[in-house]
This record gives sequence, C-alpha cells and structure tokens, in this order.
Amino acid sequence: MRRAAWGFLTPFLALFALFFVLPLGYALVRSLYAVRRPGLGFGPASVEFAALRNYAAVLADPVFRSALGRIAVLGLVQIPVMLGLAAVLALLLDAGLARAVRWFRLGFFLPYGVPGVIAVLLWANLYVPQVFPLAWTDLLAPPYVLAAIGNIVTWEYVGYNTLILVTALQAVPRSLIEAAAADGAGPWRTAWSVKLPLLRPALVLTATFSIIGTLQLFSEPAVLRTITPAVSAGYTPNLHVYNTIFTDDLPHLGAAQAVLLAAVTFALSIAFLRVTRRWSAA
Amino acid sequence: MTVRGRPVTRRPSAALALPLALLPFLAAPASAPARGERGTRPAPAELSFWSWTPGVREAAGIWNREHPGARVRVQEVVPGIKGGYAALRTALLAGDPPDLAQIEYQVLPGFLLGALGGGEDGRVPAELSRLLPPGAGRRFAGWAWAQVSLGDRVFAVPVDQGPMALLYRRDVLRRHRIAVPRTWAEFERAAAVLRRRDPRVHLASFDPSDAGWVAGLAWQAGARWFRTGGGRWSVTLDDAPTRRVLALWGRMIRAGTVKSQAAYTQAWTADLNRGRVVAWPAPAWGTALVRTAAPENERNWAVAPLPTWGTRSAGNHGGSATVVFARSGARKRAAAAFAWWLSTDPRSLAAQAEKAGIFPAALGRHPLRFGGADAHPVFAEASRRIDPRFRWGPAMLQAFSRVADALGEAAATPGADLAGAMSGARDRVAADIRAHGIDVR
Repeated sequence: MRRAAWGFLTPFLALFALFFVLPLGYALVRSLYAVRRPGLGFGPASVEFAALRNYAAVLADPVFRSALGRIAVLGLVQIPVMLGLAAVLALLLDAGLARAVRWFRLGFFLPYGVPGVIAVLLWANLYVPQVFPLAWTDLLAPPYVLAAIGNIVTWEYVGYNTLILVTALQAVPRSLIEAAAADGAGPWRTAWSVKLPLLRPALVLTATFSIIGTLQLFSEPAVLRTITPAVSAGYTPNLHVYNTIFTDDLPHLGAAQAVLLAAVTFALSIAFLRVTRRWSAA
Repeated sequence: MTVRGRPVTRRPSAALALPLALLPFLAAPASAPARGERGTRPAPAELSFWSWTPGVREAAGIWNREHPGARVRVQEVVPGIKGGYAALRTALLAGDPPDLAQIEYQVLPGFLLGALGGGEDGRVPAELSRLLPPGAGRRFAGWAWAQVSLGDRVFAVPVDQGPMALLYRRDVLRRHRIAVPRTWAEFERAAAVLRRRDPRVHLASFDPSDAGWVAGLAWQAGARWFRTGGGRWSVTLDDAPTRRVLALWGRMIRAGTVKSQAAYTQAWTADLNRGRVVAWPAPAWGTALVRTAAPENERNWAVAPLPTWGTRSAGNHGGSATVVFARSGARKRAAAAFAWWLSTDPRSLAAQAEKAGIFPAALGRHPLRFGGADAHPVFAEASRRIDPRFRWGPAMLQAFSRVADALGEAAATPGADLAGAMSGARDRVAADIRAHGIDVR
C-alpha cells in the first residue's frame, strides 16, 4: 500500500521539486549576490556576495510597496465582488431556474477559456471612448484603470469560480433540500439558509485561489502597459519583478523581489486559511 | 476470494501506480521547438538578424541574392521597448544571441556594459573598427557615429536617425489664419489662438509616456541628461534647458491648449485622422506614421523646421544601429559586412525608407516624400544641427520608465508640474544606475 502511494506521489514530487523547489532555491541563492561595475561600467564586471543588501533595497523600494498596496486594494474589492457573483450564479444554476442550464453554465465559463492576453486586448478596445460608445470617458486613465483591470479579472475568472461552487453545491445531500422544502422554505430561503452555509468550504477554497492569483497579477497590467501610460513598470509586484530582471537587467535584485513576493503570498494564504478555519468547518 | 489458489486483492498494485500517474503526461502534446525557426538546421553560413524595422526583410532579400554564401535570415521581433530587448537580454544570458541585432541608440550603452572588459565574449556587441572600411565614420552623421563609439572603438553601425521637425496641417492653420510658428513662444501663442477659434481642435498633443520624444525636445533646447566626467556618471535630467521645455508644455497643458495623450494609440491615430490634433513635433520617421494614420489627409500635411528656442540646435528622437554578436572570425566578418551594406547601400536604404519611412544616418540625398513634397531638406538640415555631445546613460530602459512614470503622473494631476517631476525622476535614475554597481554622482 505504501509503495502504491509512493508510486502515485513520485511524479508529482519530481515535478514539484523541479519546477517549484529548485527555482525557488536558485532565486534564493541569486538574491544574495550583486554585480559590481566600477567606473562608467564599460569595463570588466564582477559578481560579489551582497548578503541581505538586495532584500534591504526591496523593502526600501517605494515602487514595490505601492505595488503591494495597490494589489491589496484591488483584492479587497475584486475578490468579494467576484465570489459574490460566482455564488449567486452557482445558486441559480443549481436551482435549475433557467432552461437549458447547461448552456448558461458553458456561457459563464467561456471567458475563462479566452487566453488572458486576448481578453485584455478585447477589453482595452471596449474601454476607449473613440472606439466604443458606452465608454463615457477614457477608462484606461488613472482614476479608473485599476477598476478596469479588476473588471477584466472578474470577467475572466467568475465562470471558473462558479464552476467550483456549482460542483460543491451538487455535493449537498438532496435530503437536506427536501427537508427544507417540507418545512415550507421557498427557493430563496433554501439558498440562504441551507445551501450557502454548506458552500463555505468551497468559498474558502476559491477565495484562497483568488488571493494567490491577485498577488500574482501579471498579464493584464503587462498588456495594458503597451496601450496606456497609466500602468507603470511596477504596477503590480509580479510586473515589477519581471521588469527588474528583463528590462532593467538586475536579475539579483529581481530574485530578491520574487522571493519576498513568494513569502508574502505564502504567509497571506496560511493566515487566511487559519482565520477562516472555524467559519468554514460548517 | 481466491483465483487459482492465490488471493485476489483489491489493493492497487504498486507496479500499476507509476504508469497510471504518468498517463496524463504521455497524452500531452509535444511542445513546439523552443526557437520556432530552428526546426530545421540552418545553412552553415546563414546569419540571424533580429530586427523590427519594416523593409529590412526586403533589403536582406537583395543581399541574399548577391551573397549566397553569407545569407541573412531576418527574424521580426517585437519593438525593443515592448519586449524585444527583454528577449535579446534573455538570449545573451543564455549565451545564444543572434548574429546581428537592431538596437536603438539610447539603449546601446546599456548593452555595452562590460564591453571594454574582455572575457564577456558573445555577450556584448563585437568591436567593429577593423572590420569596417577605412573612414567609415565620415559616411554618417557625426552625432550618430558618436553614439555608436566608445573612444575610437566602434560597437555598432548606425542605420537611421530621427531629426525632429514640425509636421502640421497646412489647411487647418491657413483656415484659421495662423502662421507656422518659428519659435516656441509663437507655438504657445498659436496653440491658444487655435483653441479659441475652434474649441474642438488642439494644436498638438503631449505624450508624457514617451521619454525619448521628451528627450528629443530637451536635446533641441541644449539639455544633456547624462555626463561622464571624472570616471563616474552624473545624471542631470532636470537641467535648465529641460526645465524650460517642460515648463512650456506644462503651461500649455494647464491652459488646455495642448492635450495630454499617449502617442501611437488608437485614440491618437483617430485624432490625427479626424483633424482634432493638427501639429506634431515629430522625428523624420513620423512622416510614415502620419501617412498610415491619416491617408486621406496626407496631402494636407506639410513639414517645417521645429520651433526654436532662439538657437540653431536641433533634437533627435529615435534611430537605431546594427550590432554584431557573432564571435567566430568568418561569421563576424560576414555580419559586419552585412551591417555596413544595410546602412549604406542605396537599395537597402530605399527599401527601408519605403516600408518604414526611415531617415538614414548615412549622409546623402534620400528623397522623403511627405504631403506631396520632398521633406528631406528640412530633416537633413535638422540632422546637421543635432548636438553630438548628448549622451545616453547606462540604464536607459529603466530611466525612460522613471521619466515616463513621473511625467505621466504629473500630467494627470491638475497642477501639471512637469519640471518638478523630473527632479524626482532624476534621483531615481541615479539610484538605478547605482544599483547596477556603477559609479554615479
């Protein structure tokens, strides 16, 4: 039995080590070094051990801090909105209130199938007043652009979350629903008092995924950056890491940023799961 | 339950577990070759050239017909700033760069870090002075040759340049009886007059995100953003000429006579096409953009020298050079020969001018049709007056980001203090250079 278990686990562990542990370790090691180019920089360069100097630079970097703050604001608004919408859609689908539920389910899920870059380009065109009449102002300009990104992300992922919640709802024993109906509860009351509480574990799961996803937000701001000046090089932490390494040619500093971002993601996920453990143990 | 005396168990056999777990991976499609065109081994003498300039492919076709032993395969990459340089850096890091690559002047110093150090073979542009014809420098605009040289060592062959002039709608200015502004003071007044006479129209738009364009305007005013003296860099993004230029544009933005808008976007193109923006301080290659943005109106456009600050100097925006990364003797010689040909052969320049509207860095007469006339003399005159002492710093992609962010933020706030924003950008750019381990004041 134990051998069978290891047999199933080995491929996962091998890939986990290769694509997660190894790169993280590599980034960790790289983050402890820095390049030195004395004079004007055109002469020979050397790589020297920098200990925690890169980490100090990242912690002092106002761009990184403001990127994290921006993501926090985005997450605090976008995640509840998206999950609320997903829960409503899931409950509607589960109640079978629409005909051809199958088509609605497919329709809700379709945006998730659209490649991220294409989705951004689609919405970027819809946001321009000169092109699309419903855009009342330039929605890619500073006060609106964060909400614009949140809108794109919600559109992309609400279907995915709906699907997870619908699946969780299907695990609700029908006997409970029938008991509620026998007690005189209508579909609204059933949804609110019976289904929703049983959805809590799935909600915690989707919320955790969404938190991790928001912290890693990259492709939406990266594509928008080529279209509007409102998205700066360090708009989100992941975009900042990418630009630090590949545009600014500072791989060691970028490695430190990446390690710190991973640590923040890890800590936030663990904290969230801890805080919601009792709530979701319905 | 037993079968033939041996118990049949319901536990999964360990031997089955591993192959079952691997099944999804066997079913996954094989990934495409990492470098798309390397599916078949290239011919031995084929040189790879990463470029985004339209027309280069046609030029390479001409070269390939005449030099079958040193064929060049052009790979179109995303324009540098949008990701082309990131791709090039990755290739250099991997030790597998193309034989030739297009690099803009401002970014070249960043790729030359370590070039004089030796021991970085294949990761820095090759030194070309012995591979080019004698007197090569005299074939090009002096300031462009200075951009590709470190002392008397040459690291790239200039291809094109972007001397700046004023492109404007002749018919609109005439209709509103506004004379073509010859100084920036006249420009400011003309912008106000135009706005009064037709509130739907702006004289020009200001793109705070295009740091290269802002640099060109500052260059014309006599600014020098980076100086090298005493073995270290000093960053002077906010020197007096730059402040003067930004104060002017800031005033116009606050007064609403000029609109703040990102260039080369759909909104910008629509404005040019519909006559809502009627003048553009543009580099020579901007003529091709106006032709594509406003094809029906092109004959209404004209070109005039850029309004001046009372001096004769001019500014440059854009332009690239060809660098050689090939290391082996024969490949390097062939690559250098191609780079030289690309920049000087009339047929090559004609192909690039036709497709991309480039203004060659090589001296000589190259007709540039715009608005039904030849725009070459205006731009050629500007090119002669570009200050060759303007240098770019060692981390320009970062610097351009810093400038664009600072100016973008300032332009979006009601006060529009563009000049003040440059001081903040200046400190960040200096910190960026220091982060590379380079000495900066």
